[in-house]
Amino acid sequence: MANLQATTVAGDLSGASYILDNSVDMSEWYILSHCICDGSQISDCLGTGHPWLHVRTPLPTTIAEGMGWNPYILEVVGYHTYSAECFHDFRAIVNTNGYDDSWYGSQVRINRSGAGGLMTPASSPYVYRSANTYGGKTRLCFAVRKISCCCTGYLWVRWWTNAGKRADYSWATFHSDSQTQYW
Amino acid sequence: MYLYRWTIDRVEGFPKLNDLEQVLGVVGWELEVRDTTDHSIHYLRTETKLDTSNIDPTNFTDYLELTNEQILQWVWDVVGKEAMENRVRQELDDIRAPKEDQLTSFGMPWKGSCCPDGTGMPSPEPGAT
Repeated sequence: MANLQATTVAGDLSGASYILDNSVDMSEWYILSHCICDGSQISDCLGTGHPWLHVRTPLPTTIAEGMGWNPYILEVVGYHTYSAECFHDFRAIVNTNGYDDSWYGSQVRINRSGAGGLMTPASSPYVYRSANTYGGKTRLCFAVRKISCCCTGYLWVRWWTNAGKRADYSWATFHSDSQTQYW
Repeated sequence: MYLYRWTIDRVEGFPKLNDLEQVLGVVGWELEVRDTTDHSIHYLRTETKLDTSNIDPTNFTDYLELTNEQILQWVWDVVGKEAMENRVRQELDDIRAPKEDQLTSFGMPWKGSCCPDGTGMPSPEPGAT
């Protein structure tokens, strides 16, 4: 009987839980089903008083990790509630200053702010770098609005990158009463 | 504390199998784990093939009467509920503390060496508002 001794894969590999470095390509979509609920407690799903869902991605955000003057594009598509009162569909270009590693927080360019049209309430995405380190590195994070309903909801997230991304920490989600930095 | 959530993503079945109609054959499912201490999450997404080789017609549940709980129980009978929850929890822990002798992706070293000399950068430099 023959046994497989080794295998070689040309190209990029994606796992169910994380992405591997693929330098200049787009990543696979990562799917977040953010409606896990713990009884009647406020959760990522139950949004009463906490209308913002904050997502911490595993993407490191420093020069040392290759982000300095090497913009990434973060793309997010998703919805919340059965009738998708909250709908998310945006791309943001994220970057750090190659001189001093400062985050271009005020200049994160987002193609759709979520205002207008049928997007009521607006998605109002907010993209930021975590204040704390996770696995020794600051991580790319974002917040989008959610609805006070314990029902269905998904986010699909992927990156377009030119620097090389690492996935050496977990994803995380949490609700907040504030749109601004949680992680 | 770890929270787990099982979700059925999809089902496939046989319109007719022997004398039975609409017999479930494959269940696609998702298992989510959340560490409530730091809100880290992780997913296990796969499918389970059900044993349809020896179905007792007297104990057959009509497709439209199947419940989420019943189908999940069939999945657990095959894969083991606790075994899968242990596995997804272990994967989450491994992601947060990757082994040093495990192959992992690196960024491009020349892009992480800091910094370009600024040649060709617009003036004022980006971000200088």
